[in-house]
Amino acid sequence: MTTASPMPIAQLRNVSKVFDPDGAALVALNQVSLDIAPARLTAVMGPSGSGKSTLMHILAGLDRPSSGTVHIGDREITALHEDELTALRRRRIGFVFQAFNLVPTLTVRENIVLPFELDDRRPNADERAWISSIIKRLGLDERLKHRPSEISGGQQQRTAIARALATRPDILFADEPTGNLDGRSGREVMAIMSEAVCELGQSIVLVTHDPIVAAYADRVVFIADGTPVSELNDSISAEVIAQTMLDLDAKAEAAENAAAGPLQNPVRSPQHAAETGGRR
Amino acid sequence: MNPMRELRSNPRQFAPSFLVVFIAALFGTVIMQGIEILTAWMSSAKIVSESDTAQGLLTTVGLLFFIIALFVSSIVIANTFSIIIAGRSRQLALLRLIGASSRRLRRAASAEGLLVSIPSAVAAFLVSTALAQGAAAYLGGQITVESDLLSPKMILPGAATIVVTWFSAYLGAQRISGISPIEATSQAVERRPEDTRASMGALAGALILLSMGITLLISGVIGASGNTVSVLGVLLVAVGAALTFVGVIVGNPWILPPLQTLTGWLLGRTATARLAASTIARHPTRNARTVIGLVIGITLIVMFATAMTTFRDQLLDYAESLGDDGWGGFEEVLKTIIDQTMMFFLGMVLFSVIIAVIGVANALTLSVRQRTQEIGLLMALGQTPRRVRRMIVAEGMQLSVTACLVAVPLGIAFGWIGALVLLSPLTGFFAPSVPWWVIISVVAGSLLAVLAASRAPARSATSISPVDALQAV
Repeated sequence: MTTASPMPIAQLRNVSKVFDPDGAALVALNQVSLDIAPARLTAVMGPSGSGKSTLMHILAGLDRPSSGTVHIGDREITALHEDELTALRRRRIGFVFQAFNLVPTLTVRENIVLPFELDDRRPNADERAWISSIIKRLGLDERLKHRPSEISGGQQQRTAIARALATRPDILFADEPTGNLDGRSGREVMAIMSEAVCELGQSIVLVTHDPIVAAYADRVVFIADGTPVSELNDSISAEVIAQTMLDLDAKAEAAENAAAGPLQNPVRSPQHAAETGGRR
Repeated sequence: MNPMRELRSNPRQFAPSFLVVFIAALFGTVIMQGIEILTAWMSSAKIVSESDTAQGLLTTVGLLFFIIALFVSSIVIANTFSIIIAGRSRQLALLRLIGASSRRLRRAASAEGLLVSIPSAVAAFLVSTALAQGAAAYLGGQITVESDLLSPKMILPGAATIVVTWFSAYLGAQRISGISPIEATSQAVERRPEDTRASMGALAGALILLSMGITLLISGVIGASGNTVSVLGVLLVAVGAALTFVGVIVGNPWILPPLQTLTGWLLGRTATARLAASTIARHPTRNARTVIGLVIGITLIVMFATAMTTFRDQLLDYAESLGDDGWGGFEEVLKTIIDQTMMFFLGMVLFSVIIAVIGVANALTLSVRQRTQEIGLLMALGQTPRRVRRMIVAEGMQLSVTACLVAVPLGIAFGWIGALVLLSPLTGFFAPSVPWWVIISVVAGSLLAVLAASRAPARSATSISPVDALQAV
């Protein structure tokens, strides 16, 4: 919305998603409009249940919105047939997840070229050169013949990133990519992500609840109750992000208390917020 | 998703399919080659005039039993693949996520079936040919007529088995189309229940088939008691029995789960038995499919035995009623012929029962392997290995007892009705002679076989430490 770029790489227009289990409608996304700028690292943050995962699923064509439109590049994906969506995921979208999601029976190298195999083709000379440059950059040269179970968590996540970058996707989605990693491996992975954005011009959408991870982003979008409520575009730091999150939490809790009536203890919530803030 | 790689990385999960294909193909090829040798032998012994009819009859009967064995194999193989795919669903969801179409994944899974069945069918052909050569050599001098054990038509049973396996694997892989790529994105390993509810279509189909079948059976029996043996009556009953049986097979997701609950209750109220029962109840249609193969085999055995025994007893009674002379010593010959025919039929059906028992063992093994984590948790919480083993054995028992509960009454009814239609015009209405020794041996045999087969998965489930089991995902 505030980006100056003329052509967003991904675009949501008035997107709503309503889950309807047994008639009790649950609004996961409410009239969301959002532009994702190319060659930027965009972080989406929000408390659990805020709709950030649903947002990512819809943006990536994994789930269909109840209403509204989604574009990847200049292509509207809301209207695509399931087979076309599958091909789109194979060729133009990359994924990195908390649970690494590598195929255990394949070696690191086989995992990286898997998207090509699923496309029933071998990488051409140009693509092979690209893949080896990524492998070198991510420091996986020595590990190509190993299986996922034989390498560390950080290396597994780097393999997943290499697989996601191998097809030079238009956009890469990362869902809590550091969730299963220790601090140092997590920082490494985030450094690789920022590098991919700065040096390779990769567009990345990152979903996380960790302010330190989100601080690597060029832009942070905050979501609460299925709607973007605020965003940060410059002077992004873990502290500012954490404070914004706490404010959102406090607001949500105040709203809950108000709804629950006067019996609730109103002192509890600021105190709780202070405790959490002290820990950061 | 590369079939070869799946085979190489985890060959053991395909061993039962290999065995099932081997037995079915061996059975078919042995029938073909056996008939070839028999014909050559009969021609050599100058029974030429009868040999054509005999050969035709034998081929028809042999083919019928081969088709039954193939049908049971296809159920076992489809079930095996559906269980293997359920265990792989997380990985398949990942492949869907990074852009594999479900059609492609399903094709790859059925290609695994093809890759398993080809070497197996070839092995079966070689073994059968060796056996046939041996038999021919044994008969040696008595055969003067040329017999062609390697003629192209001998490949047909093996080829049919391969095609059926390929197709069954494709059917078993049906679940792939229900796997959503979103399943791969969540950290929590909460699998969607594998079993969607049994379909209403199956219920409707089963009810239609059952009502038609039972109507035909009843009208056949009533018509027969009207003192006429008509070809029409026999036909009515044959079609009626077939319809009823297909009705039971189609309706099995509706018929078997309540029975499984009942057997679970019958097997006791200990914690072990209750855990086993709840495991069975968690996958009602998977277990119904496991059981139905056994039901087919046991029903056929009990049916043939009941029909033949009743037929024999009634004929002998009738002969006695004729007076002192009876049929003048013909009774003994008749008794021998009927008994031998029965043994021949039972032997033929036995192949299907063996295949079905492998299917039960296989379903147990795969489900235990997929529950490594859960069993580790039980052991970490203090369940002793012995009780875990007993729990798995109890699951096997529950499956086979359910099969017997359905199959024995069904088999007795079919066999009895068959005998009634043929004989009641002659002798009037009669009760069936229940062949207890056949029923007891087939029930005890399949229970023992399943018991023996459940020991291996039970042992492997408890042989890893709880810590390792909890880490396995």
